Amino acid sequence: MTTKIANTVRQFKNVPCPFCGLCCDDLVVERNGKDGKKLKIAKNGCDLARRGFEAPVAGAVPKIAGKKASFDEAVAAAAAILKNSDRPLFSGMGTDIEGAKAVLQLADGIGGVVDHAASHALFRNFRVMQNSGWMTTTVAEIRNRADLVIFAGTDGVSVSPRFFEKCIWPKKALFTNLQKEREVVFLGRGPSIPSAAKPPRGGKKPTLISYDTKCLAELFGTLRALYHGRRLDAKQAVGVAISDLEKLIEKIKAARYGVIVWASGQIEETFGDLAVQAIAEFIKDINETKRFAGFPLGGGDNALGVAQTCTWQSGFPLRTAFGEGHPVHDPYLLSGRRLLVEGEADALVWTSAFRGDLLPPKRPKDTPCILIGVPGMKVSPGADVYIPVATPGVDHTGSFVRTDSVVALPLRKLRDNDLPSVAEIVGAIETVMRGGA
Amino acid sequence: MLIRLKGGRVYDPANKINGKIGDIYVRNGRVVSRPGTEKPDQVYDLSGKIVMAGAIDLHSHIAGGKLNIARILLPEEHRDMVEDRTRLKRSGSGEPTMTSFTTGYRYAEMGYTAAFEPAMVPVNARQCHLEMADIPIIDKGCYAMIGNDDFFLRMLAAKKDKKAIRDYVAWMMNATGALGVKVVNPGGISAFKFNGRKLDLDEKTPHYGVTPREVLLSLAGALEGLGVPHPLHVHGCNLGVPGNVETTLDTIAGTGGLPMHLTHIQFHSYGAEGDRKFSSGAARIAEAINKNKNITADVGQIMFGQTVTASGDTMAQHAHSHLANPKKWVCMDIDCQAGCGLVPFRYRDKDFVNALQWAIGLETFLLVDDPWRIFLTTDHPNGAPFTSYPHLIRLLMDRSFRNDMLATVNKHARVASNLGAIKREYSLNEIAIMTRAAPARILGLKDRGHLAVGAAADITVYSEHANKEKMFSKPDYVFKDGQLVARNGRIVDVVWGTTHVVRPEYDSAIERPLKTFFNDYQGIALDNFVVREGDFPEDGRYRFKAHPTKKRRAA
Ligand code: SF4
Ligand SMILES: [Zn+2]
Repeated sequence: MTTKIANTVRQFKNVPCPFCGLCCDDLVVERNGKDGKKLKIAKNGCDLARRGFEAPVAGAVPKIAGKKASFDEAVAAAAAILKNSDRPLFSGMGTDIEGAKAVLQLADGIGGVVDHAASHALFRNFRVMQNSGWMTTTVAEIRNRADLVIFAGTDGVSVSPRFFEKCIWPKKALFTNLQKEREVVFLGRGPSIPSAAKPPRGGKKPTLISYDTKCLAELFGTLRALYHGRRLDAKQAVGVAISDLEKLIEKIKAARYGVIVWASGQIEETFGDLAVQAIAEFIKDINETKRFAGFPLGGGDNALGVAQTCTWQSGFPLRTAFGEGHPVHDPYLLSGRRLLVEGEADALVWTSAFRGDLLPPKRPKDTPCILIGVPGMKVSPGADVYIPVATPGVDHTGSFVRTDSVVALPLRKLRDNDLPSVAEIVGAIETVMRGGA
Repeated sequence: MLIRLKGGRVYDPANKINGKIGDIYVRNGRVVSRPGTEKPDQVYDLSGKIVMAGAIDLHSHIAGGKLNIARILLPEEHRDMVEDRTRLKRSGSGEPTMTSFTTGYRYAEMGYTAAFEPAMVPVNARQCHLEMADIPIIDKGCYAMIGNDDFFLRMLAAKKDKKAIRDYVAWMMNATGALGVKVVNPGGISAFKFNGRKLDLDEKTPHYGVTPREVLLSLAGALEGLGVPHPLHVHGCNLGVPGNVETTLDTIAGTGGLPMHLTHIQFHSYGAEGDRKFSSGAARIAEAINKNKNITADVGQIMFGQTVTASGDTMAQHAHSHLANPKKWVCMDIDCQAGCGLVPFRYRDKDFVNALQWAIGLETFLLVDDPWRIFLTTDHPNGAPFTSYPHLIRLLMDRSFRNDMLATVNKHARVASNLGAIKREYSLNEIAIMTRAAPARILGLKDRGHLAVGAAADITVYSEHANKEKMFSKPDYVFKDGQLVARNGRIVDVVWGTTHVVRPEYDSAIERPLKTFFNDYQGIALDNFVVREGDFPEDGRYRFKAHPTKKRRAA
């Protein structure tokens, strides 16, 4: 982490991008400017990546109650807040695995609660694993194997702009003829960036089936019934003609390796986990006789990497409290957002090391906030303590887990920046807290 | 600092010491020779105590993505079993899918100083190392899963020569930081992705048209050629299928003398005889192992109770998913390389099949003559959590206890098993072989598993006890690299162990086709796939030690 980058190194190839859960690793990034801190994507990437890599390094001054402070003062102020807190919440958690480890160690030591900004989306999936399980697949399997890809309530590209380029329409595939065989079905809306989802020349045109987007669970319940040959009296369900759904069932039956992609963060009904469960159970049914798999899309701000780390350390994927001296988990009651709204957390440590627009949620006025955020992050009301943080994969090395929660990628250091990492900041806070104990 | 362990009864089978009373001296983490006049800084009086090297578990699923899926699947397990943080220890939870810190503490408390993760999926290797870095005290390492990966199967189908396969295997071990190579249901995980539901030893896989036997021989030959100390670690075909004893015998017969390690062999020793079409094949398996000196095996003993089966074998796991208890399970196809399946399971002593599985494991332990070639495992967590080892040791060492337990299980299983008639009781020396000397030898860990001068001072001291479960649960002292880490079964200090790897040489020409494959199909850059020590923080938790290969056999 401390190794300096030689001034002559001006271009990096195969750079992994930590700015969404897909973690594309083919970017070419150039380093410019006198101090060598200005980055520019020279090849590959997308708007989201550009915003991340090319974000200006400004406003990197720690603050206490809005006033400039030294790093040590800010760390001491953060430690003082945590000392006075009985149940601090550590959330946001946009950080690399190394940062997550540091936060978990501190939370375990002082009895905090750990969650992630994206946990509302994550737990729609985790609840299904906790209740009934599922069958899923990963990026390279879809890329090489899928002949039918159904997007259930997501367009793919609004979560990961390059999803089609990397996963659906690569140049080559091992087991599927991309032109003749691979077919895409959108359930819901068409792609928000049509160019990003365009099939290659000669490829099949996607099918769009619109439905009442608040009824994803019901849509899959209906599909499941049709798949099992049940006859329905109704002519339509959740706003779709049954005949259209029957056509989809034919495609599903004809597929060799079908995949259903969903983005739990984009599911519009309140109990999104029921929609995920309906999809998962449908997939299990299909697998009685043929192959099909699910693919949960999401994982921005390293949500999966942080959840994985919390799981191997505590046994639970976030929404975990250490106040009783051991991990206690509740997928509803320990939601960070709920704890803040209900005033059940008496301090907030909010970490966002990947982007400036991951803001802490609303909280009671008397709940102090320690913000570990990228330079220039604006929060309102202001944080009680603000410590600017380096970005993993830009300013220092780190580890990131892709949305399929299998592939862990190394994040690279592309420039020298004096900013400390999440691990360093949290480590410093812990040291102060221990020293004063 | 010089430490003297004075007057204990030493079992150090690697050095042919079988219960001799003697002293051991330790300095800077190593066993040293008796110093001249220098006075030790510390003396432990071990008269009446038993001294062995730290125990080594060569097959235990302690890290990697599939275990995390199992943890998420089973919040109830983690709710029921919690570990409090202390001044020394981090908190944790669970038992079959115990969390990382707790795993290190529990092993060390039991006198184990190393455990090896046998199923590292290459694309998940980085995560596996990140997770192992959170397992304190003990040494660790992992075996890379090869044999269902599309790059390898393509090579095999294209009849690439032995050198190319060797280069690939060596490259993969380097790239993932592996100590060995494991194959799981050779070709079968790939077949399942093509909707194959069954694959016999000589059956051709869909698409590639290669057979499991070809996969086995190719990989075992590659490792032998490379001089990797640990032979191919084999999870064979037809796991859990009644009648699979024939496949296993066929596998053993067809090795052509190549060394192979057959893992959790209990799950592969089933006959299909009797009214219930399920019988013990243990005697035949043991006979085959006794005869074929190139074969080693670990048992994968089951114990009654709740656990979860975690395996790369999606074909078998999916087939058994209807047995899930509680009723939830996960299967996953993984990135042109592997798969994983998690099925919670409750083994019941009153159930015929489960009781016979229990007996088959014990029969295998007792009928294989050579303790250097049979290893003590429960395939944690598949058969039972590793915390049941002391109980298992008692079953092996104490016939009357074993028969008492046998009397409580399903009576049809009791009749179907030969266990009650087996008289053998393991000796302390044999236990020391199967849990220390033999695993160190078969993994190529020259300075572990024994207590000669120069060995790492991983040392466990027990009080002799008639109840062997008691004796092995809570050793008096456990030293890790010379540091006292546990006392009377409680952690007294936390240190960080070593990750053992082997880095066989390869011709870098293999990187060209690999680069193309990764670019065209894998969808990640080869450069980012490779796990480098420098990718990890320098916090003392990522210490890798590369062990030498054996002399390479002429190509
Ligand atoms: S799709 Fe996601 S990972 Fe890929 S370049 Fe864009 S932001 Fe980065
Ligand atoms: Zn195993």
